[in-house]
Amino acid sequence: MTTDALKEKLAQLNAEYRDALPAKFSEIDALWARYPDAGALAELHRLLHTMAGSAKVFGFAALGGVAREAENVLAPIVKEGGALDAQFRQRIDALLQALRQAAI
Amino acid sequence: MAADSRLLIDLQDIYELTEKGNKELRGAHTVLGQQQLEILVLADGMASVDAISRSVRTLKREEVMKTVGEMVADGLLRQAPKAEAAALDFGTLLSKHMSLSPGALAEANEEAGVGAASLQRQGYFVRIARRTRPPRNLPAGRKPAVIIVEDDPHLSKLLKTFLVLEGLEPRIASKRDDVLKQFRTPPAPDLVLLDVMLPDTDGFDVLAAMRRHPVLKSVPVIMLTGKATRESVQKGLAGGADGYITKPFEVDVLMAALKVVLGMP
Repeated sequence: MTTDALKEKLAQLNAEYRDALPAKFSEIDALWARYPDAGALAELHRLLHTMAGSAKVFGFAALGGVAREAENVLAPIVKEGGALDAQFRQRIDALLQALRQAAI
Repeated sequence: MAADSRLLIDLQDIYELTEKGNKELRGAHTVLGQQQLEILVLADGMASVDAISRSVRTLKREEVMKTVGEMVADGLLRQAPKAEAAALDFGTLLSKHMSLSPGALAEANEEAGVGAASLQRQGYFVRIARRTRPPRNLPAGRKPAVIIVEDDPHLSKLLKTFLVLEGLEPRIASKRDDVLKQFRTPPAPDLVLLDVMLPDTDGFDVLAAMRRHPVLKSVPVIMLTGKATRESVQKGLAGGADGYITKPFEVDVLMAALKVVLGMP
């Protein structure tokens, strides 16, 4: 593969990642809407973890940072359980909103 | 190890990584053994010998002190300046335990490293890769087979692209059933790139199962994961991983790590 062909391939992979983001955000929102379902919360945490690990690789460093923060905020809740107070839920709301902003 | 280990090591002394030690953890090429790597992981961000000895389960306290002494002599660790160590220690305690009760202090002292909290905030990362097994002799014309265990389809596609460029034969698995299927599909893998948080299984469990398996136990594994805590890195190394690269990663660093583990030029 030539350098140009590789660049083209990488640009294509980055574009595919970008194009898939709206669906990922919708999936994240849908999972969060199911709170206090513990299974949904665990899956939300996993999706955020995946996004935190991959976003920067595809050029979305800010998105990866916000995803990591949201992952870290959710981690103890997923691990230990328990109800979230209104302030905590607002924080999650804000972080999930910030995800979309970070992807622009 | 050509070190003079007769250094006086006090349990309360706080050590940090030197540039050389940092390079061993993040240079994607190390020749250090598992226990030395574990100690580097624990001392990363400063830790007392006492805290390290509580976290390294495979060594007795005296052995930890001896190994730390050897690592200091080898230029991998150095004693942290007392003022900085005290400031970091206090800052960490204050940030994690706003009320410094005796119980909170005891709990804090249980931690592997006093700098753990600040490292976590900054985004902890390692790039460990070591060649622990002789390269396999492949039949003429067969490319080394690599199983990519990764649940993000975009990432696995990207990895596949680069592995093909390096002359490797990648196969992808994203879930437990895929992993089992790929392990049963010949040829046996020459390397596994292993994510941890998967939809229906855990990469550490996969690693443990591999290390118990008569054939797969000798297959090199690089953990490629967003599980970026010192505990996770320790778990991977203790579980028999040959490398541990945290996400997000740089592709060139990963490829360099992969060549180290496979013994490729």
